[in-house]
Amino acid sequence: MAYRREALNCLYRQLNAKHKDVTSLALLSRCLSSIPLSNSKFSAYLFGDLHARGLVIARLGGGGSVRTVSSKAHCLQISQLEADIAASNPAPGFPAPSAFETPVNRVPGFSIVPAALKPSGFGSGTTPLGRLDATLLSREMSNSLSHGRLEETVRLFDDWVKLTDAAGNPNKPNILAYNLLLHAKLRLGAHPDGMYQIINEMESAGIIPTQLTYNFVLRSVFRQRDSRLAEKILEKMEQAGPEAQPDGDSYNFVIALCALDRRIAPALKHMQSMYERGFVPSKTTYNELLVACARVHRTRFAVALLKELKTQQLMPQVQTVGELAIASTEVDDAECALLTLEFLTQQTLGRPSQPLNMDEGGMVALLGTAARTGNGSLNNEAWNLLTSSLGPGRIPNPASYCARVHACASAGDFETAFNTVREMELAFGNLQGGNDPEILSPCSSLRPLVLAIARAGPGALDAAYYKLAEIHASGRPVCLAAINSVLQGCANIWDVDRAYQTFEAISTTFGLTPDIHSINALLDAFGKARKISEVQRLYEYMKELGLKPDHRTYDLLITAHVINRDIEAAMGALTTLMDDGHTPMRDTLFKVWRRCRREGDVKAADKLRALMKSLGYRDCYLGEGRRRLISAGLPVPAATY
Amino acid sequence: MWGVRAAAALRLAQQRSTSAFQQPSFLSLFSTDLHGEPTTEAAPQVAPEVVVAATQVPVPEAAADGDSGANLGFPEPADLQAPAAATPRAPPGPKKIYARLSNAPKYAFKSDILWFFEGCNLTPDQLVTIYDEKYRQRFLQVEFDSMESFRLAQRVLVRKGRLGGRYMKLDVDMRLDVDDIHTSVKGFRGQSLLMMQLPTDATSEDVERFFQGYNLAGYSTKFLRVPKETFPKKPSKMSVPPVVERRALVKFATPLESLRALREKQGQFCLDRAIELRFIQ
Repeated sequence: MAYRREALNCLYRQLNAKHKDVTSLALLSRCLSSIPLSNSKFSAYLFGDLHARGLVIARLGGGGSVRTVSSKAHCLQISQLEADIAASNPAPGFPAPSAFETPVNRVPGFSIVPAALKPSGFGSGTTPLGRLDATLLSREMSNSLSHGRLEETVRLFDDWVKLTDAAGNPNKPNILAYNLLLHAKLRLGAHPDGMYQIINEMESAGIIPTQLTYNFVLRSVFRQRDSRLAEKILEKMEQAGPEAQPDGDSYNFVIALCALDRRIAPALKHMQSMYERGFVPSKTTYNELLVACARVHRTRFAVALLKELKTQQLMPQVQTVGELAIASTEVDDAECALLTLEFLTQQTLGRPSQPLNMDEGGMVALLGTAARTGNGSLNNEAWNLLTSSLGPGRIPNPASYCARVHACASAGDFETAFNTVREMELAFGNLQGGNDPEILSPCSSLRPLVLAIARAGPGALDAAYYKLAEIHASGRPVCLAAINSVLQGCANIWDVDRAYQTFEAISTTFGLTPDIHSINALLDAFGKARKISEVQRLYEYMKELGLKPDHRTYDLLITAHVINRDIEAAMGALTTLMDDGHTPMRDTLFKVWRRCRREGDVKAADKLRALMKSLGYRDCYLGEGRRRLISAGLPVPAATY
Repeated sequence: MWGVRAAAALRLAQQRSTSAFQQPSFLSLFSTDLHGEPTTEAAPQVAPEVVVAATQVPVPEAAADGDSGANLGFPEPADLQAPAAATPRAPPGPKKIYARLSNAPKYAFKSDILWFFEGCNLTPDQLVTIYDEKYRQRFLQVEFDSMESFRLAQRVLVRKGRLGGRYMKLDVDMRLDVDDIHTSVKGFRGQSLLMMQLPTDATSEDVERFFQGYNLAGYSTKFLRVPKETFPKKPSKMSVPPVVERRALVKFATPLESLRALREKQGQFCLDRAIELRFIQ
């Protein structure tokens, strides 16, 4: 008696511990088997409580662990237990002795559920659960599932597998029942690990999972966003027999999952095997993969995908294409950018009623990519899309024009570049309207054009000049900014004579009046060649023309004086610059300071140093450290902050 | 992120409380801000979550309580409400509505947004880009003069649809251009570039050398240290010091000059690293 009480206490401890794992259940079943339950009083005591917990224990079978316990490890003990129960008298309070009277109702494990606690929908209310064979069970499960009774479907399966058939063997569900179970569990939002375990169970029971089985699990995996598990399942499917070969859905799920995890290479590998099996990825799959490519900046893969889409005449989402275009600008992939723009243009042309509003900032970034890569097609495509987005009533930003000129110059399309400069001049040339004079400066905004012209030397400069002359001869207007660019190019290659001839040609050949940028370019050429008298004369000539010198003019004047080693004149020009309300650049101040130091004018040098400090520029003595270290061939030490 | 936002909210509350009270106490700040609620002074047609900026008009204490409470949008216990009849009302001043414009195109200019909301009478000053602790663009804060103009902007958004392929979203939010990030970016907006992936041993001389030939402004360079972006994200151990990335803000003389530098210097090398540039506006 004491032994029995102790065993029961042990059992209660296990029940109350709420350990829902296999270990505790195994221990529990061992306790049960160790109690000789021939006495009806004890059986009633025990099972009365177990009924109350019956559902809880039955629910533990969701992950398949209980089935393992009940069907294998302790099956013999439990059968013995059932035999004992059947032999004993029914407990007081138990509803029907008939529950124990037939072998089919002998329930293995612990889920001895009285009729009152049984689900009401079993067997449409006519067939008891124990009388169902595997086919009938599938039918019942299908019935429940079609009525949306998901939990009941799962419970039906769980309860049925705990029963034995007429021969006393444990019930063995067929593939249909398993598939229905997985479907119900999927709709209930089960974790993929649990569902994957069911597949393992099926295999260990000798049932071969089908394509549908795996696809249910894949859907569950998709919900949890576990691409590696999805790949594992797909690999299993590919190695399985003909009934479980993956279909298009399987591949779509796995590829989209890899894309969501930003694993591009595996996604493309699966896409390749998908093609080999004759399936075509869905539009969503393509979109997800393109978005992933955009996020991780793998634009070369995106190019391959976009070309594939093009051959299939599919149109990816506009948002995806937009993201990809921006990503391609960040890695300077002109081909990808061009393909995306072609898609966007196609989209715009396809829906004339809903024009696509592209932001100018993004288009400037695309033009920048065209400029850095020298891709003329991308340049034209981006410009067309930009102008169509802006509409007729809105002038592009100066930054857009500058980017366009830069892109044309990089691609070697100087005629388009000159035309764009002409448009710029028309739009922003009027300084009375408050426009920044720097917009048309060959030293800053048009500098890429100048560099492109001067890169190939005097021959290229002459070619550019004759092109402008040809335009003029054909009666079309030539813009002064383009001529200024050629002039600045001459200054850049230190060709004073060519620069002067070009300057002369402004008024003689083209019939235009030089502006401040023409003067600046010529000043630059004279200053570099240390022709200080010409510099002075040009400065006077500029005043005669009524042009107001800008900060660039003063900078060039100071530089010319510095080159001429005339500190006094340089300081005088600097004073004039500041009197005119301009702020000197650090480079200019540094040049004068260095000349002062070399000429031994410490007082002027200190004054300049104080000026630099007051303007917030870096100190003169901190300017050359890196250069000194590099020139001395010493290793560069880590900086201290 | 939360810390920055909370600090911003607290600072905002402090500022507003300071404008309303001569000497706000710590307790009064929390009693009004965390448990307070707009009294009847809040505009009745405005939704409860609407942020209503404190006006500069001096208001009585009860009204000030209500305003500061409304800024954080916390409900007020009924017993704290002052009787409306006994409280003298302040004259209704201009109340600003702050909205968050999310999912705007990554590189959109302010002019793009202004053009998109054409007819809503927005000015460039009313658009502020909010950056996160890594100086990435989070969203745009739009300041509206009234609820009507906010509703009008929402209608424009629905009517026009996409900008740059993206659907934008406009929601009422609290004012967020008061945090530390904003303070550090403030002097650089409109004509500066953010240099990303800067080498750890780069000095301001290297930065100036990188932008040789461009017209830089005075006090042009500001170095930043931001938490480094890692993907896939790994759980950080307490013993490991946080990995930081060095960035720099570089100010140019004109906006056009900064955009030229962005176009020409994107991807160029500073010491041994390719630099990624972003326009700060």
